[in-house]
Amino acid sequence: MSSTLTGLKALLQGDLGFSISSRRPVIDLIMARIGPTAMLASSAIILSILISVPLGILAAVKPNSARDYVSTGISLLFASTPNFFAALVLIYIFAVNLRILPSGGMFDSSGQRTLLIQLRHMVLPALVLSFQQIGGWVRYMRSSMLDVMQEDYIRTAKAKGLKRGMVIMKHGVKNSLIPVVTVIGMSIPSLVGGAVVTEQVFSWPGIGSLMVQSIGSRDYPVIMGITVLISVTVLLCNLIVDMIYGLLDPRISYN
Amino acid sequence: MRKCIALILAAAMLTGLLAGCAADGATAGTGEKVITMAMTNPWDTMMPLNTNSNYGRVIYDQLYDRLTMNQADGSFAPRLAKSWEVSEDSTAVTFRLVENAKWHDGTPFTSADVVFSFQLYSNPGVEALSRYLLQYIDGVDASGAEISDKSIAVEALDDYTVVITMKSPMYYETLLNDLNNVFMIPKHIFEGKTPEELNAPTLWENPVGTGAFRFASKIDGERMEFTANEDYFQGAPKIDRLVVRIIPTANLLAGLISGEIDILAGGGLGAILLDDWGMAKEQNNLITESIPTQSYQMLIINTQKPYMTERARQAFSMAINRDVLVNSLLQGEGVSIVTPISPISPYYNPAVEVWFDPDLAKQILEEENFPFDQELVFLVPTGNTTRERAAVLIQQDFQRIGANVRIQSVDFPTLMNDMREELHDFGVIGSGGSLDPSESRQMINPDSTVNFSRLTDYTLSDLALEGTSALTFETRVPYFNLYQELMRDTAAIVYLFTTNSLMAYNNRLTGINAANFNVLDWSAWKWDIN
Repeated sequence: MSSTLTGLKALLQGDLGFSISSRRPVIDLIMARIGPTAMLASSAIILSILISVPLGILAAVKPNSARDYVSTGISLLFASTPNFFAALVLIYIFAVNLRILPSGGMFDSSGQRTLLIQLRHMVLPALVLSFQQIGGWVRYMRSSMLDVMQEDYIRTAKAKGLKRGMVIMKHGVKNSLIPVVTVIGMSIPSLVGGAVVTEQVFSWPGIGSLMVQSIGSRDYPVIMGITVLISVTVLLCNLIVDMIYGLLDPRISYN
Repeated sequence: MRKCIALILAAAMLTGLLAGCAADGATAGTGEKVITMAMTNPWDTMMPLNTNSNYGRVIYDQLYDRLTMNQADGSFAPRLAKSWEVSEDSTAVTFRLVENAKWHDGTPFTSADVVFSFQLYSNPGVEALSRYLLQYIDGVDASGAEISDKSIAVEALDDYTVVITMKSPMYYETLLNDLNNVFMIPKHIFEGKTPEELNAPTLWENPVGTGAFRFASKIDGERMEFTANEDYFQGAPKIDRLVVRIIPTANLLAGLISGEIDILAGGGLGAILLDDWGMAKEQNNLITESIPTQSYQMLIINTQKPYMTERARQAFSMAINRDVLVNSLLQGEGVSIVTPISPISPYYNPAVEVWFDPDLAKQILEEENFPFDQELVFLVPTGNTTRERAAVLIQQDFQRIGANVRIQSVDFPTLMNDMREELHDFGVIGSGGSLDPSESRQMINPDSTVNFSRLTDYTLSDLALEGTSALTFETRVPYFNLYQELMRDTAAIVYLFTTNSLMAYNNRLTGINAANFNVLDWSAWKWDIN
């Protein structure tokens, strides 16, 4: 009991103990990896939003049309393709056959560490990470948009003579984003801690690959430290999502 | 809507731009000669004395040096020691050091550094997982820790001569074998530091060694970069920079084909998967080498089961068609064995032939009144597909002679535990092996924690010990010949096959001796690019 309390006290002071294999403070190991993970996760989230939101809208605006089926098909394909498989297929196509993108790592061996080189190395892992998200998010966006488009205020907007595009973008999309924001917010922790497979396959030096390496070397303090980090991320993301609700829907207030 | 489409198009264009630029691989760009080597796991620490991991030794080999280097053929090559001789009574080895070696900061390397390094390794206050490597040296205990302050028997006779005295007369190559992992540390940098200061990982983050490469930069878990040490005493490296990258096994071949990786670290540190071997051999830009190793797989038999008599065990050993295992399962990239001493060892005894005779095996089991209706438990650890497939083939071989075998897949810790509790009839595991019986003896020593066949007889273990205590190669050979004979006939452990290390590197590279990678000698300063 007393050791648990000591551990909790140390945790509150940011002391996660020492790694068994490298003897370095766990917090240092995590801090060294959090940058690459944050970079990869944010690119993946932006990419996912850029692809899934328009696809969801396209599908919802004309339900049961050809483009709805295409969008549904794409989301089904993305959602049901395992990360490691998508990663290997992309590596095979872009790195081995076409040789236009690197198969992994954060930089090449040229000795230069420029943003452009780093972005090049991020294309494939970010794509793979976004695939899983896109699959789900397109479906959420579509169904949320379908619900909203049947609301009275949409009919009112149309009756007032607003242009179709205006109705969809200004009244439809903004309101249908509320449930989607929840889903996106809740996906962030999985991108931070759960990009294990993607980071490992692409040798991306982030939290996910640190997790795999620590499990491989049975480095329990590091594994526990990462678990704590993921838990904190979940709580933080919940808080942020709740705050964004207020921005999207003024009826939701915390006063 | 248009904005969304524009955004998607912009993203696509950016992707295209990124893809288009600087598409070439490792050695292009600045005109420098750069070689990229890949291994599958990162180094654990930058402190060369505090590791048991060979991934770490890949990078230490570039930065630091050792006195002598193990070679794949069992011989030793000079490094910081240009020559060495053993005393007549086999209790001391005198090393003559090279006189032109310098640390990366320009300070000359002398015998004082050697003495200091051994004192540092043996200082119990300093965290040094490699300390056990000093166990044979006088003045330290069984763990390699000094008995009193600086008591380790490593003395400088002059600036370039060092004598290491052993606890008792012994075969000096056993000592050299262990010194293969003892890296020399600069006295002028670390002298006067307290153990607490020495144990701080940050102290080791800017390494100063005598090695062929200087530390340039690192990204934890991703890479370490080195620049050539122009003043290297063996001659300046032929390349400008060396990059060691961490790449998962599944991507090694893709990296080699695309040119992002030039060479693998080899052995268990980074090699082509057997399933990828065919594709690797077809690549025009790669040189592939299948290198025989002493790593092997073995079938453990629980000798404590009443029906597992010596003759019954021999029958099971005879029932296994090792040729099928090697030729079909390993695609020929391995060697059938029946003892732990592989054909690459100078101690290999060709008179102990691999046996295969299922008819005789069946006959023996019948003569031994073997309980054919008894279900035999065969523990197979998960994770190594080749081993798992081998287990199925062995099960079929055993069924052919009438035995009723059930495979039970378990994770490795469970396997170890179950075998210690004698829950198994058979179990299959692998080992790195050694050229002499020093490694295999652990598995048949009744006092050992890895005596999974639960042998209670000391004959084999004592024989191995007697052999390793003999002082010359010639006097050891008769013991080891008999050891191999008895190991096959006792059949407490049934040796199956050695596996080759499947190496590949870019065909523009020259000066590569891939066989030595298995004994942790990369000699990267000899590498060049055509």
